Amino acid sequence: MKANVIVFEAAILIFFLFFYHGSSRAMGKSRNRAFFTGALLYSLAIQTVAVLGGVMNFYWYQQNNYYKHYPLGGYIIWLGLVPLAAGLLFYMVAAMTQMLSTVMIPKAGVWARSALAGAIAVGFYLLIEPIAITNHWWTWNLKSFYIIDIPLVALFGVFAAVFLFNAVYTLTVLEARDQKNLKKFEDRTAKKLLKTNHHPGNLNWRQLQWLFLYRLLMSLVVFAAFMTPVIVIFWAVANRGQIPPNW
Amino acid sequence: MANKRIELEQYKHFVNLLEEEPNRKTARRGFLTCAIVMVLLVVGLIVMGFMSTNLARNPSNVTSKPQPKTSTPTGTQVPSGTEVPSGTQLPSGTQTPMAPTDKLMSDAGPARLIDTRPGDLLAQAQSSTPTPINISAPSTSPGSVTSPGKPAAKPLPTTTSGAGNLGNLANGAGARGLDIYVLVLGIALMIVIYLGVRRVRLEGKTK
Repeated sequence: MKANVIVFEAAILIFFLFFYHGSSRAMGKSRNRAFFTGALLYSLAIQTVAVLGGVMNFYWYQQNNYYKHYPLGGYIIWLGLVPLAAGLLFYMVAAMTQMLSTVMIPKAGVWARSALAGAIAVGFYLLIEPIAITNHWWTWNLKSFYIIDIPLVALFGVFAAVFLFNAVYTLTVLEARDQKNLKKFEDRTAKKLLKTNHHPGNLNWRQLQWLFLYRLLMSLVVFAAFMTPVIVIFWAVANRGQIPPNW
Repeated sequence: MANKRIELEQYKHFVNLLEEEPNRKTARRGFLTCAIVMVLLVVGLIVMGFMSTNLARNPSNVTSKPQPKTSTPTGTQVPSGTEVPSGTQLPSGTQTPMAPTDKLMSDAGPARLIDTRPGDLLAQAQSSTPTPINISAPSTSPGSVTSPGKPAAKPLPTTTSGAGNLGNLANGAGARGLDIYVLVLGIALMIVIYLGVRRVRLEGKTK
């Protein structure tokens, strides 16, 4: 038996069902639903950009003769260019690290907790990546610096994504705060759209969800701003080039 | 009292959200469920890591190209790793001696059956056979011209070497490198999850 993509996808889908049930109880149904939707959209946005930019792809099995008897050649459920399983994996890792960081250092600040969550998430992906690339669940195709065939950019990306996502979730949904630096900007944009001038703590749940989505979009900009120099630096010290386009 | 009622009415969604907050016992059980699922996921990944060791030992497995689905006309065998200049015609009846395979390319090596009728353009075969990528030196496409006086800039290899290569890890420590890596990391993650579970259990006992 091989740890092929079907095994990976089936395992993730089964684990997800149990995990979602558990996290609904741990976080509360509405909050977990918001966390799940946010995490799925967040990872989808990042990975879709990565696929479009030629950084990674999920298509090895689709092109492989050996797996042609599998339905659709590889992953079964796709969200555009990215398989659902990849998004669910991000959700499970982000939610688990969020809960762990809250439980382990409950009195620490938001940023420290988010940093711990990001660090634990990197641990998870350090375990997942070698198995994923060996079995071609996904393929990294970026000119970059690689350690055990994992581009360091990917690990920085996981840290930044989980850190920012958890920070936004905590600041918007759990603690519902205004950000000093962003307050003026949010008052002029998001709160105008929501037709309210209330403190986030006094928004109703629907408005809070929209604010969460808005802040996630803003954090994607921050993510891009963080990742650009990281990609450039590792591009400059790359030890592996891009796989030819006709691959 | 009236003011309080008005205030509650005004912020009823917020109050509902507070009510939605699960009680600590339910939250603790939910956390334990999540922790158990993630531990099982980690165990599953460790097992899959063990299953992947054979593949990972091949240093070029990670960047090995997939075997294309498309088939070419019947009659002639051509190795998939062979680059043939476009426009070249196969002599009728020519067969390149390669073992037929139905395995993963990374397992079986670059071998593949392609049938061709005598006189068919080999370019047709090449169009369905991507250029090989298991190379350490940069490949030059057929027909490409390099000026003799100018040393071309050396492009980066498409495979990694040294610590950058997973194959080196997998072949290290008596060919148990990847197993040990996956096991150590998996145990570390399980310990982190256990620390969280212990905190939650302590909270449950004290309250």
